[in-house]
Amino acid sequence: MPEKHQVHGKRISKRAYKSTVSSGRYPTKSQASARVLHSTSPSSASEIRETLGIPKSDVKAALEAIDSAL
Amino acid sequence: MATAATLPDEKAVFLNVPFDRSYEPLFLAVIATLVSIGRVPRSVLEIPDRGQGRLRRIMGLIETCRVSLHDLSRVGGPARFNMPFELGLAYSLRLRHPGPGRHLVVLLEAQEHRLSRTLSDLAGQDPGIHGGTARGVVGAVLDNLGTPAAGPYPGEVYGLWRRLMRVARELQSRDHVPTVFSRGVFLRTVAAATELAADAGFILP
Repeated sequence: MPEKHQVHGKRISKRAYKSTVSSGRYPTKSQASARVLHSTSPSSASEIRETLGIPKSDVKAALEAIDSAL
Repeated sequence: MATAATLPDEKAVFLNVPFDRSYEPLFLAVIATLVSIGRVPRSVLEIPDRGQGRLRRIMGLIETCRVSLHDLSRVGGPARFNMPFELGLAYSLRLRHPGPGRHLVVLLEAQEHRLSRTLSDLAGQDPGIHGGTARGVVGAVLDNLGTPAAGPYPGEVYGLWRRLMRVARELQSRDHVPTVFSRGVFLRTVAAATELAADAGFILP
């Protein structure tokens, strides 16, 4: 077992440790040592839809499809 | 087109990928991953197939995106030149506007070392290798654009992709279209991905 709060030699947060290692899921080695080209604060779901100009009717159709498929 | 007054959207990622049926699972993996990290997938699918000014609008769309993602894994016949052409457009943008805010190009391939043979002009640039699998695409996109400390982890995004696959099939069935490569299904699929990602706690609602 890796040292607590550490995966593939990289220190990770307690929250990340709990949600992955403690639950039996490990991030891949490449993820733990990722070469991130460009990081930015994430958009919210509504911002993504707004940027793409997705009409409300399409959002409604997506929700219906989720209800039906899952 | 984007000008100095209209800077590119930092979170927008232009997708230059094959639009064929066998690529659908990987296309959905790209969408699932980008949305899971709060990025905005943009595609020529948003632009009408025909009509004057299509090329200008494609260039305009690339210019509005800070990042473009190019999957160069389709190297067999029949010959398709759209992808290398759009890669050239992205590189021209990168070279025309140098500096810290310049356009970023992310390359994907299925096989290691093949790109140095198929596109030797890009020698020295390492593509993300996905091995032709959705899990590989998730890892390659996260490696290039994700933030490891902030998550989500590849396994979590893979789980979202599996759910999105089922939803996309449902959307296709409702639209009576054979693939996800249509404007309507693309937009509804992204909308579904935003809902799933928000439900999973990857992004804010």
